[in-house]
Amino acid sequence: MTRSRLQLSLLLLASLLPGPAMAESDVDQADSLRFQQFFEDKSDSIKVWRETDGKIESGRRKPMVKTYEEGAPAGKPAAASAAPPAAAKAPVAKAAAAAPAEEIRGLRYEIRERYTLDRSDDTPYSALHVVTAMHKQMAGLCPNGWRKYAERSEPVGKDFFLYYELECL
Amino acid sequence: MKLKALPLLLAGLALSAPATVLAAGPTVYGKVNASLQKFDMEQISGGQVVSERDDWQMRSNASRIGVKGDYDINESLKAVYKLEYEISVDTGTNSNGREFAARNIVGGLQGSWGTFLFGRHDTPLKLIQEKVDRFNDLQIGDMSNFLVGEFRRDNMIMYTSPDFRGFNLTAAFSPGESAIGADGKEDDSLADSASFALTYGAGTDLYLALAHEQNMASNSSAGSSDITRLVGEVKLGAVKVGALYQTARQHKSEDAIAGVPSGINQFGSSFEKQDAWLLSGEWAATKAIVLKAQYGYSESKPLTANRSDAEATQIAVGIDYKLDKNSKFYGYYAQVDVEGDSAYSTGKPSDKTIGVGYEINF
Repeated sequence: MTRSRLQLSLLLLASLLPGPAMAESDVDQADSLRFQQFFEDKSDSIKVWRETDGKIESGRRKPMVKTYEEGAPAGKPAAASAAPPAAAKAPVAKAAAAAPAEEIRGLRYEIRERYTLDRSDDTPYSALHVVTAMHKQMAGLCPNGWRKYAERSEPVGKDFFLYYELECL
Repeated sequence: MKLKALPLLLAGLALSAPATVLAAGPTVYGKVNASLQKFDMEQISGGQVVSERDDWQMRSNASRIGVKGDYDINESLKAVYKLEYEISVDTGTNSNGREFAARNIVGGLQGSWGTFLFGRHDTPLKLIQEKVDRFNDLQIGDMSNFLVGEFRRDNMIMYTSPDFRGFNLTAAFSPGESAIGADGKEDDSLADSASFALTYGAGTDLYLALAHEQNMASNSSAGSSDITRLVGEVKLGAVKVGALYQTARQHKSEDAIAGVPSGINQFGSSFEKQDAWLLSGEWAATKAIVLKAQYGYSESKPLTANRSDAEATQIAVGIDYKLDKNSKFYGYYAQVDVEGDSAYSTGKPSDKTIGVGYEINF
């Protein structure tokens, strides 16, 4: 088999392998056996009311913005590096504070900060101080307050990323 | 306690305390799918093919509204529910004069071990089709116009495993609740009807599924079909190609296959076996335009020994114009021809429709 034929075969084979799952709405998944995915909230799921306060939701949920991803409108993460977080968040906070409350309400974010349980060259934050940094981020993104939906930590090298999912009030 | 240890303790408490996780609350979902159809349908009368319907109609195509939700019972167990009803956006009521007709209505439990559901639901065999039937729910375009097995069953108890390297296993059974079968006996055991499915790669570029069901029919009527169905779909760039093959048999010698299409007069309901297949494809020509085509065939053997098989052939082509992720206009043409036994007719009745419609998902 020539090299070009081998490359073509590999390309065809790769194209047959499963790719990433396509984003589908609730009504699409309702007619499938994917019950695990079906009962998960989608980014554009339409909530009826909040169980905590009984308020009627305003309609289709806004997509979740991961602020630490490249090109995210909410700005770069503060402490993926050791840079001081306040400076990085300042423009975001100003922009959010200047926006009308109606535009901010319902915006959903996933934020993260790196922290260490020991000493690290990659983050200035301990497990205690990272919470303050996260709150500064949230205050900047949601000047009218927020509701925190979920929290988790994931290891990165010897350190951890602390994640919060929140929705602006 | 040393003062130095206090920040670490507080931090530990802050991180270990349960996050303020809100119960998700109910979610509304559904679709409005309505179309304007030009029908040209025929039937057998006096051994001749005559026109049965030749008119324009507005149709609601399985439009529905559903509520789903879940909440945590504890850290490892979730309660889940799905209540879905069909609505008729064309007339407001269905053929029984009701505004809502129950589709899939289930409650259940979910954990890392999988999902249990209890209630009225499509069978696993029906659901493995995913979107291989490109004209699902559309008049004459839906594959139920030429093959059996599109069952929604009452009293279902269903389990689906979690994803294991792309594989999922689903098993469902349903007690007959003393329904009288065609043999005159009661179906009174725990699992009078059962359906099993093994899928691989659902929602990805390569999808394969195999399902089998025993003694199955719609609703709570005594089941009568044993069906094995194989489905596959591959996505290559902008093109999707799908295929389905199935074989159906009467469950017992006294039964007839359940779910034979009623809209095609040649079919009736007295068949002992059916073999069917379908090939379909779609091409996303642009971001907004999708072209679709489908060809299906079934061969059904009548219970009456001296009659020859009924062959049904479906051809459908269509175009979708997506307005955004959740809404589209569409147009399509579908035709089902049935070639039956000379005892019915020497002709070949044909059902045709051309339709334009819109679908709004929410």
